[in-house]
Amino acid sequence: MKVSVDQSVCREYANCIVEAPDVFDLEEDSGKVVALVVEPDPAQFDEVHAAAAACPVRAITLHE
Amino acid sequence: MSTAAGAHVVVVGGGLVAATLTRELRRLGHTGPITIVSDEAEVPYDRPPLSKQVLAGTVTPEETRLLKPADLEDLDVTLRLEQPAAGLNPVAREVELADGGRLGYDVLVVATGSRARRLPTVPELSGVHHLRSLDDATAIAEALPGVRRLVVIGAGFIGLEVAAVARNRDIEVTVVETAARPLSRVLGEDAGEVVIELHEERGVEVRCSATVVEVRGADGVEGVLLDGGEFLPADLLLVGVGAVPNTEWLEGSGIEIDNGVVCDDRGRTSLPHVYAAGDVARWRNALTGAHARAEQWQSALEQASVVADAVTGGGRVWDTVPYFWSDQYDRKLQFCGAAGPVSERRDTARGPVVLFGDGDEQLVGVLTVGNPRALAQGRRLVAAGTAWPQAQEWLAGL
Repeated sequence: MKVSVDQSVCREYANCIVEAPDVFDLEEDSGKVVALVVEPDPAQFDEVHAAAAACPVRAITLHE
Repeated sequence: MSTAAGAHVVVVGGGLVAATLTRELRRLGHTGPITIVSDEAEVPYDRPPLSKQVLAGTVTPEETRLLKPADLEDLDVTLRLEQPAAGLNPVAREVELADGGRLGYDVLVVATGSRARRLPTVPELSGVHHLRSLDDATAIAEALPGVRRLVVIGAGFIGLEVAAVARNRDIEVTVVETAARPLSRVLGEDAGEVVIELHEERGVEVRCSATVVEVRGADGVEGVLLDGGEFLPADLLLVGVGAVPNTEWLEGSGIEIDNGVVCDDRGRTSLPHVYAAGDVARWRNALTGAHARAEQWQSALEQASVVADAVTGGGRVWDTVPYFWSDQYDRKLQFCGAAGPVSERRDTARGPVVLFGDGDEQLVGVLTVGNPRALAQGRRLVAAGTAWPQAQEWLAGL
């Protein structure tokens, strides 16, 4: 799985960092989402799916 | 109650639950047919933007769609739109449709949501609006350019969000709330002050402990009379006084209903092979022990995901800290957990943060304005059952 994020879509809800705090963060200045891990470990797949689904504006795309 | 991968799953109600459940079922390997039955003419769409970006004109109705045409094909889902469900026969395992048709199921998911509560004191005049559906939002968006004075009945999320959009357009806005504080049902008494400040700073008048006793108007709405005798002129009246679960169609089916369809922490109802999720359902939360209708986007999403897991043979339960957000002006108001009897507020550089404790030395809820990162941290602290002194330390460091 590969994770990509679209900062132009992100509206800083921070839902993703609740679901998968080791995979996503918000940049300190812009407040926009960043992926800390591009290729998550299979053990993280469920929380990464939950993070992508929890984004109200679908700023997270998963390539499987 | 795990189900064969080829079972026919029928979802009644075409909203966030239907769209999420469909995606999750396919992701988890469900190969059987999925049918979504909806009384609306639209494919499932997202509701949070309706009272915010759709009214402001920054998101189009098409952009609110949760299932695009390509998704419908990829997910191999059958949509039966403009098909209200009229009844449920759990013995025959059939949904009865308003047009007399019947639809058999192996697994049924009740997701008929809720509708805007009506007030007996409010007549159906032109200029009087409720906001629940995409049609409602479109009608208000079309009316707003001609509006000079808006009165909102009810300082809940819908009302406050519409107030914010209208104020951004220089419309004079008064919000009338019967309770002593806005959002008191979710935030308790004290934290409502944060919400009043947010709106008063931008010129909205917030009238708490006031009740509309009469709506006046002949052809269209002209204004409202308050219980104190004051008349507030208005050319648009928005009524946002809560929602009622759409359970009437289930009467006679034998399913247990008590302020929503009663569910356990996996979405199972009192009937075999029948689940419920979202606004229509009253789930037990395995983390908090609460057994209440959640009426939140995040809860509907999570519940749909737990039901998909159950249908495909998993054992997940709903055990997350309840959470919601609201966009008002350029700020995000976010809340997780519950409003406990003890609270502590700190105005950080980004905005106010309020902690709630259970009075027994544990953090149970967090409210933030304009500080999503703090809310995300707070949500984890609530989930971990953080002790009150540690929570206070965290607050002091924000």
